[in-house]
Amino acid sequence: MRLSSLIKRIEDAGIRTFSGKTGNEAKIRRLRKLGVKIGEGCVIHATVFSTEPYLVEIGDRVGIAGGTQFLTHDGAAWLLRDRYPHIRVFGRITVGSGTYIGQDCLILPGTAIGRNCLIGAGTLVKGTIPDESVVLGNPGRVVMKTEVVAKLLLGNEGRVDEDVLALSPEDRKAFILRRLGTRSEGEDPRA
Amino acid sequence: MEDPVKRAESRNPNGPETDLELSRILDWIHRHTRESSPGKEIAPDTSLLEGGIFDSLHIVELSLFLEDDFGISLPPDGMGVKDLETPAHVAAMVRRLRASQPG
Repeated sequence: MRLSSLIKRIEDAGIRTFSGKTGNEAKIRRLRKLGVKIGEGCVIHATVFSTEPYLVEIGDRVGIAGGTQFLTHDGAAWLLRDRYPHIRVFGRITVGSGTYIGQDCLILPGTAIGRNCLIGAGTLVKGTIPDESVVLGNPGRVVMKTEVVAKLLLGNEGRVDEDVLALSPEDRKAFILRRLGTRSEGEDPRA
Repeated sequence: MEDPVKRAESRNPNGPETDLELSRILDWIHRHTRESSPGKEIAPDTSLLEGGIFDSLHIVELSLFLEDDFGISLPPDGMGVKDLETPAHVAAMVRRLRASQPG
């Protein structure tokens, strides 16, 4: 395996690199070098930014889960290549601040996602998405406003407010199992 | 087990013929939350967004049901808390949309 590939895999895994930067910070630095405009406070997991990363603009505090792809060109232009040998069709993609994009989404060219939106896992997104929208399905559609999801999350039985990421993996497991009412193999770290 | 449609109709102060939307919505919710909320009674004023009755996928399925069954188009900017808070709120939204989307 080439060194660059190894470093990318380490970054994708979100673990610390030799420079002391977290995988997320290193990945964002690399993406910015490629031309992706990325605001502050973002968390970006393994993601494909197509062949025109400079056409993607991401606001502040945006979260993007693994497997999501940003397509900034339309492959359908292939159909016209016999008559127009060099035809390409490009489109910008923008993501508003505060938005979260779930696992394995596909964002098509010409898409503008508003602020504080939630894009559900596996959603195909095209077009203009208003602020505060929850987009689900394939093709994606605005089903509800984010205030609905906020209410569902705040009332969820699995909700915790403690900083579980500050715990060791063993303590975190015990804490979560205990909170969910499942028999834990370990002790409650807060006990 | 008591029929949730008849139960809703019996609780509806406007009578069964004037609130069929609520009855059908209650029936749908009852059938689709039977596994996630076993034994939980769903009344017109039961909160759907608290207590684990609904999750986001329930709302996606509900939106498809509402559009298919009532022949309406849901708001393009999505449903809000005021539309989904309780079965009665959902029914009120359906009535509002049916009135504004004739035919």
